[in-house]
Amino acid sequence: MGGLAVELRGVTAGYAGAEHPAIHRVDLALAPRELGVMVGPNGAGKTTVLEVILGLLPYQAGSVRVLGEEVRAAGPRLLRRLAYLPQDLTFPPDTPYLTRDVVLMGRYGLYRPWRRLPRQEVELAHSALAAFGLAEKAGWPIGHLSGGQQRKALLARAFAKGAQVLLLDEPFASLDPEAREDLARAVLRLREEGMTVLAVLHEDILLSQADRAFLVREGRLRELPQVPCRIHDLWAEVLPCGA
Amino acid sequence: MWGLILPALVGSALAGALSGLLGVCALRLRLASVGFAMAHAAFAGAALGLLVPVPPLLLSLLFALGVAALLGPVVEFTRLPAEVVLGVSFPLTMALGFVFLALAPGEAFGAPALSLLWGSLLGVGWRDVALLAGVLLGSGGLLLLFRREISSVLLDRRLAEEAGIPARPYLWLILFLIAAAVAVCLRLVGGMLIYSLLMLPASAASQLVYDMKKLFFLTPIFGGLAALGGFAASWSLDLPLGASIALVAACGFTLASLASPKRRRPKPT
Repeated sequence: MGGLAVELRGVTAGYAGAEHPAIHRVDLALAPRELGVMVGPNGAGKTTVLEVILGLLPYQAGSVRVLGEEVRAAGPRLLRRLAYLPQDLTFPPDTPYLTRDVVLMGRYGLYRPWRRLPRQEVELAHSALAAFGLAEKAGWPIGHLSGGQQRKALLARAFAKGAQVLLLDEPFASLDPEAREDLARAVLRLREEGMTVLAVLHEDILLSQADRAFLVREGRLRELPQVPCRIHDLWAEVLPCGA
Repeated sequence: MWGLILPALVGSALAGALSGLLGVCALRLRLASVGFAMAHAAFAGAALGLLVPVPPLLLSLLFALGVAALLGPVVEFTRLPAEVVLGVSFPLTMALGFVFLALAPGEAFGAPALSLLWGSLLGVGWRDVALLAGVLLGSGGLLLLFRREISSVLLDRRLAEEAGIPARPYLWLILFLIAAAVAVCLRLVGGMLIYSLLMLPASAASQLVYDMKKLFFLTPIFGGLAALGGFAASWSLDLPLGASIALVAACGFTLASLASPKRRRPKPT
């Protein structure tokens, strides 16, 4: 199984104070440049899987390897090679951060506090924003961008960061159809650039481009034999493409 | 007379700048309630200092930090929202403060108690000024050194972690600096109103700018001006210093809200 970008084997994890683990004996594997989608009802444990991969939530059993490294042992060094778009992250209009600074922040972990940030880093942030069609928004407060633009700015941040694995938690929630399509194109572009993508979805968008699909229910995950075309009636029946 | 006024004047300006600077962090972390609870815990600590032979400043710092340190475990144990736990801590620390004052020997419930509650011009000497300057320089230096890390944590903890910045130590650093600021400003502004100096200048500045760097630059200036304005009002009208500073800071916030470009159509900066 060498060479996998993301590999979970028998992972059990939960939150402090909870009676039962949020995910139980989860197995998941994604090869480099693959697009995996996780679907399932709210509270099933999808976000927990992402948090375990990021190392934000400790796991009680099993093994989590990302880019060949055990997450438990790697620490923040590994996080610099991952990018994460959290669920429901929106910046209100009064957020006192400029868009280019939010993008630049993705690279702050690469430098010791006392080291000056090289000028090229600012240029990198600008070119990443330009690559995602947000060049003219670089000097705007992040809260003045639309919801879709804010998420695209976070994808530009992942791009600037040079992340190799991108984790998306319901990236299309509360976006209009046009913004969804725009964001989906940006995600696919990142995969073309070489990123492995694992996305939690409640919409059909991106399903047709996915390499693997995982269904999460009551803390248990199983890979679907085929990637479905529609999520609509997934709970009753998995519809293969063309059905 | 200048021997009395000058240390209080310089001390007011330094306290305003210090509280303002850390107020940015408190505001961004939505720590309004924690700041409030810390201020009252610091009052209880200082009151205990009148009762036991331990410096009130040290006890203020320990009590203020204690509130922040206990918050997480108590929330977990009681399974209550943090706001509720802080709501419990506020009357508890206030009551403790008054009990300590009542038990303190001599005239503690007179001038020293009033000075702890409302702040006092007369209580400030050059030693306090030196301490305020030291804490301001130390806090400013640490905020400058860790500006990228702290700025990331203040935007979003998850994004900071994702960038490889461990959020927890920086959150603790911020809480420690806020507790230190509350403790050293207590004598000047008083336990009841120190919170206003922490929140109002930062809230006023946030009405005017969209950039974190500008916010960190403007807020200490606003805090310093509010403190100096409050000092002038207190001296000329013979009002309590803490209350005067809070009123001037509130006027500043009102003016900033009225003049705020955020009421107009957004423009790129």
